[in-house]
Amino acid sequence: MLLAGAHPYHLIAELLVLNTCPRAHGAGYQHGDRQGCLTGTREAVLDEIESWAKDFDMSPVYWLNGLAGTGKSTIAQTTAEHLFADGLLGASFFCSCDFKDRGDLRLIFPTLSFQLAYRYPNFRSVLIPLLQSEPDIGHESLCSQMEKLIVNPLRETDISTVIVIDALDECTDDEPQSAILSVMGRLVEEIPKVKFFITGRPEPRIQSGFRLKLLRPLTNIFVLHMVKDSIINEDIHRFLKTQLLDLAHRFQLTEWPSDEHINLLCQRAAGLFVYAVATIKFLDHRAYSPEQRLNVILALPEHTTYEGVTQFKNKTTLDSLYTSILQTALEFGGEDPELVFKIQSVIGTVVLLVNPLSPPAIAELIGMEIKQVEMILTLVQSLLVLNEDPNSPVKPFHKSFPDFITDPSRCLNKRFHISPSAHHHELTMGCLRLMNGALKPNLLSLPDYALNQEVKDLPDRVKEHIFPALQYACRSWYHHLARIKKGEDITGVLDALKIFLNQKFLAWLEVVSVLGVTRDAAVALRELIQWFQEVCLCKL
Amino acid sequence: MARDQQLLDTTRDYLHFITKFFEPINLSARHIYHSALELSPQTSIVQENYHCHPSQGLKPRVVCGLPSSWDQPVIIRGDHKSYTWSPCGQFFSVLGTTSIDVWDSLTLEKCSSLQLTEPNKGILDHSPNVLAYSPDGHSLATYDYSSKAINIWDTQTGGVIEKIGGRAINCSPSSVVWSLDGTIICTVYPGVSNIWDVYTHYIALGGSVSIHKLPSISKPFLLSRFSPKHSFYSKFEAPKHSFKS
Repeated sequence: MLLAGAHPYHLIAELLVLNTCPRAHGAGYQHGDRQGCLTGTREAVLDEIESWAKDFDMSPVYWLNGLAGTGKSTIAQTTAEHLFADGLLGASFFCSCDFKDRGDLRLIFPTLSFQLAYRYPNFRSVLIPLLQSEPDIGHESLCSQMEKLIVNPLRETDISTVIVIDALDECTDDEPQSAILSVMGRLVEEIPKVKFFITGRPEPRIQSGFRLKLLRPLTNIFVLHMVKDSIINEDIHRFLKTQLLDLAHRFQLTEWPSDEHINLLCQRAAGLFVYAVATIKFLDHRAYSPEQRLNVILALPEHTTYEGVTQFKNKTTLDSLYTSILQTALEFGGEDPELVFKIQSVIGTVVLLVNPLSPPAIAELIGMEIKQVEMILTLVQSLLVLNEDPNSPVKPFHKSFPDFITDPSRCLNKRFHISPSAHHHELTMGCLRLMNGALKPNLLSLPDYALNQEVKDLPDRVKEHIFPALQYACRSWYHHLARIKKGEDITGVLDALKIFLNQKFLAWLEVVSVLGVTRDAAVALRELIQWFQEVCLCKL
Repeated sequence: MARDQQLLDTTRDYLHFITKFFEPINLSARHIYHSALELSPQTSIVQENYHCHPSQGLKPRVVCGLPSSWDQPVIIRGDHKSYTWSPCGQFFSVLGTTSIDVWDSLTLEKCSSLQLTEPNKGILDHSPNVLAYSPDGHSLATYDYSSKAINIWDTQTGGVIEKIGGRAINCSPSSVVWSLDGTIICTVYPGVSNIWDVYTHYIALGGSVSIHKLPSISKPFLLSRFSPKHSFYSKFEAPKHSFKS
């Protein structure tokens, strides 16, 4: 009886220790709203990956290399689902630049280790004493992270498993050669029973990472954009047909779409799955008939925009698709400069936020009315992930959209182009305005001398007093500030900063402390000092 | 411009505040006022801006003993060629042109000054490792340019106890290293390393009485290390080296 009774407590104690391991939330394959591949598409590549994953004589690393919008993440999602079903998946990390923690290189290994510990009790029993003796391990160098959190426990427990890392290019990395790949090159051979499935765009950093002497012989590379056009077109065709028929069914359309339509769309997608997905999202709008909207797209001349510096394939019309979606969505705005400005404000915010926010929080942050923000978001909903629930966060539907709209050489229409520096400026002002307005000493009415952990209802108090927009402002103002470039008129920012530093600083520090991110406060001040020196005082 | 500078100074002051009181701030939002602010230096900007905060009310106050400012970095000015910490971590020695000064890092006072016979102008600027404490901390080895020898100083008396090499060495080494037991010294030159027995002045390896020359290396290397028990010896190039402890 005693043993049986002791077990759950033991487990809870273990979970408490595991929870001290820093990690990115929601980075696993089962989170988020990614869809898997449509059944019957991408069969060849999925088969190849599956046979690689099951054959432990094959190379330990698999790199799925593909340009933006060729469907890497969807394949990674499907692969992870299949591997999980077969009991082979150990851990997965889907990098995303939309979320600060999922774009943080230093959280990859701790997160993977955390998931492995959940999955394998043996692994857990090795990891927990380590976390107890070295609580700061999550902040160590990548190399010692991988060695202590992944390699040593896996070697000791002799587990064979597959680890999936998706969209490595979406992590912020300053090294010329992907830091994570060079670390893996050094250590992967020590755990022969573990396989790594990695996807990423062929950026120079990642390409040179896989070319490293140590990693190259261990890696199997599949180049997604070099797959035969006929195979890809067939897959895209199948995808479009299924989705369009589904639309037709829901809108009760008959004899639509014609094969001609599908072929034309297929031709314009030119191998980019993201084109097909964006088109379907654009057509699926409650207020319009898909027939009308399809005609809008097909009426476009094939090249309205010059595909200059992009790394996309020559023939795609992705940029013109985005332009036309924006044009159609915003046509009723006409030339009213005020509305155009507001639309830019909202889209710029969604694109540049460090972590996605819900529509009401966005409204609060940029000082607009909720109704208006919701209206604008609905206009461009085909480019966003927008849920029915108004409190769920909004983010771009695919990374290629922010890439497009912030690049003046691709987004040629000035009405739509988002200048990052100007919008970071606006967001900084929003953050400072919110903080200067809402912060006050002892905002949470904590008792004197209390330690944070002694306040039992701290999470409730945080929820009550620190609303989402304020929490975002407190955690991210310096991120936006550091991206304001020289040349902007920063008088307003300096005025707001003066109030913040002279009157609100300690109140901000209180919030930072109760949120448990004191480390970030030091980072914030360092960034602020650097920004002062670069942007304000460069003449000194 | 003046306002920008003011904001920058404020930010720097606040960064001191966070790093100095990281633990209390991290553990308790309330102790930002009760501990961190209360114990901040009197002249700090954070005290100036937040000292009489109404939220503090009637609380115990620190009335004396506060430092007047944040800890400042200590700057020792002069034309210094090299710099090293003693093994115990309390002292550091600075090699200048006319003397080697030994400082106490706790009191920040100069505790002794070893006078060089002639100005030590010949030390190359890229030779930061020509000053080395013996593992027991009693001796300090340095290269003396005028006599072209390795001098071993007694750190207690300030006198030279051994002179190794003499005219046999004709350029200044880039690095001087002790073995862990303090009986062997290695000097590193562009292309050559010499290994000396401190007491016999002869090379210990292989019983040879002449200077033992390791195979020539094409590039100069700046750092070298003995393995424990000094049976192995490693060297490597270090294009960037820092003087920080």
